[in-house]
Amino acid sequence: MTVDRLTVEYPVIDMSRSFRREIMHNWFGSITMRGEGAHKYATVRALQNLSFELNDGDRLGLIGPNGAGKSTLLRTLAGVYTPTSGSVRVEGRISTMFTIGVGMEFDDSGYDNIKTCGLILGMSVDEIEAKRPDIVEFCGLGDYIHLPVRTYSSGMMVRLSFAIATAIEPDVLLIDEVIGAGDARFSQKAAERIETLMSKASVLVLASHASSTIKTFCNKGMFLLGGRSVFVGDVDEALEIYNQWVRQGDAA
Amino acid sequence: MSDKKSSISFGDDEPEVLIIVPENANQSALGAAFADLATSIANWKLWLRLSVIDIRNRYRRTVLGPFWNVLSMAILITTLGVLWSTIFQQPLRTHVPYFSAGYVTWILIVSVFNDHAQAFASNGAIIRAISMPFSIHIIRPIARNIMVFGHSLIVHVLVMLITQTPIMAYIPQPGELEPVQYGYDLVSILLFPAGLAILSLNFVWIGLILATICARYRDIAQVVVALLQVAFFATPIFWRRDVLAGNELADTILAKFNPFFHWVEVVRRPLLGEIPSSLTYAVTLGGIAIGFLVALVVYSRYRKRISYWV
Repeated sequence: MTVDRLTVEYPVIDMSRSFRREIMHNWFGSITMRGEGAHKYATVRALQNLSFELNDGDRLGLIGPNGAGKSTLLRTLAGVYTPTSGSVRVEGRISTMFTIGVGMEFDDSGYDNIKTCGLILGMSVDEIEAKRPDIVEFCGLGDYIHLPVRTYSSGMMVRLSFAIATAIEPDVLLIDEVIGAGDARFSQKAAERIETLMSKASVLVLASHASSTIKTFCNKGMFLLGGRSVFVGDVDEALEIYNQWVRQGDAA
Repeated sequence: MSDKKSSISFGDDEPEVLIIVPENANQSALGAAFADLATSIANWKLWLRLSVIDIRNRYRRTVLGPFWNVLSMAILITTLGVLWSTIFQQPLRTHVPYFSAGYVTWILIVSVFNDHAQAFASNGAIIRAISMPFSIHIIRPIARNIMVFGHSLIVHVLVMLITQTPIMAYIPQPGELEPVQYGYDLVSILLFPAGLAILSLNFVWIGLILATICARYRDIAQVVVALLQVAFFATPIFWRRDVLAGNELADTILAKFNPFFHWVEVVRRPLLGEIPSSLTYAVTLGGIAIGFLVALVVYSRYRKRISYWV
């Protein structure tokens, strides 16, 4: 996975017209006015000139305050958002886990949803049938797997989503925040599964505010601030810098 | 301008915007749009499953399930069919089947259009979470509504059985019994699935344009709803085209140049054992050819932005 001078700027429709043409520098992405006259619109530059490279086995943790661009980066890597400039090259099968329960039919049982979500993520029917027992076993929901998903707690939904998202054996696994909703035992199980996946040559990118989550899953860290990368490198170092930044804010 | 930077340095500042446009940007966007559509259509297992789930969810925990649709349609067609054949002084035996064939087709068209207007807007969560071809959200409502149409068709079959077979003789009515009007032959039976396929293909290109525009301009969805209501009355569905005979202008506007008329006709005529006119085929098939070109241009141009709009 190669990311080269990536900038993502997205138009904001329906914003109030009270913005003046200005660029705000803070730890959110900057808001810019583009266009002239009646075609004036605001854009948020969520990511600025980001470059990095991930190779097989890399597990990158994205850290940074709210609005730093973590989710935008994940969505751009997933191909949902298109870069305004720069390029993203991702090789292989992508699996995503961004929002709890997306693609799930809440009235269907977890068992049925394995098939639905599997198809949405791009698995074939045969593949899903072959992997179903494993998915059911991994998410450890017991008989709940046959109950409608609307009866699940968010932690249970995360278990199911994670089991499906990793069962497709992706080359690139992108996870946003949500994984934090799982309990400690699940986190351990999930970390083990990611370990196995990584040994089969894949890349993980995970965004979280929680240092513990990042530490459990990642070996590399990227500290994002205002859509720019402040630090990329070893996970402990990245967390150290992030914590330093947090303390600095407290002092100010 | 004072620059309120946070005390942590950001690294080098970069140029305002650096836009890299690939040399064959247009070409590749068109190719991507085409691939998007082709992948969706090929992934029939997904959209078929999602459509079945949609129908199942709609009637979940009801006793009659999709037959609620059949029942309400049956009541409506009987009541209005009899009412309108009285108002327009048309024989029951021909007008009720004419109305039922036209009405079930019309409901298919209306529901698909209404669903398409919301197609991207209402699937925002999934569009922003998973990179999958957006056109799946166009094909899914078509498949779903054709399944509903299949159920409604039961009503039409019943209407045909009652009005076109000797059963009618047992129903008391004033005056003489008119001779049976409609009868099927092999051609009309084969033309029915063909007509449905032609209509569905028209739905695809209309849906691509409609859903894209409606994702950006939410007012258009409301305009569509309003227009469709008018179109129902302005299209020969519960009244016959014959009533326009003698008024060349009205016939031109309400029938000849009315795309809704031709979309209804291409399915309605075979349902009545008749063969659609060549003008109908020209409009519907020509619509597919031109419509897909326009749709691919529009869709390829704005596809990338849809995820920002929803």
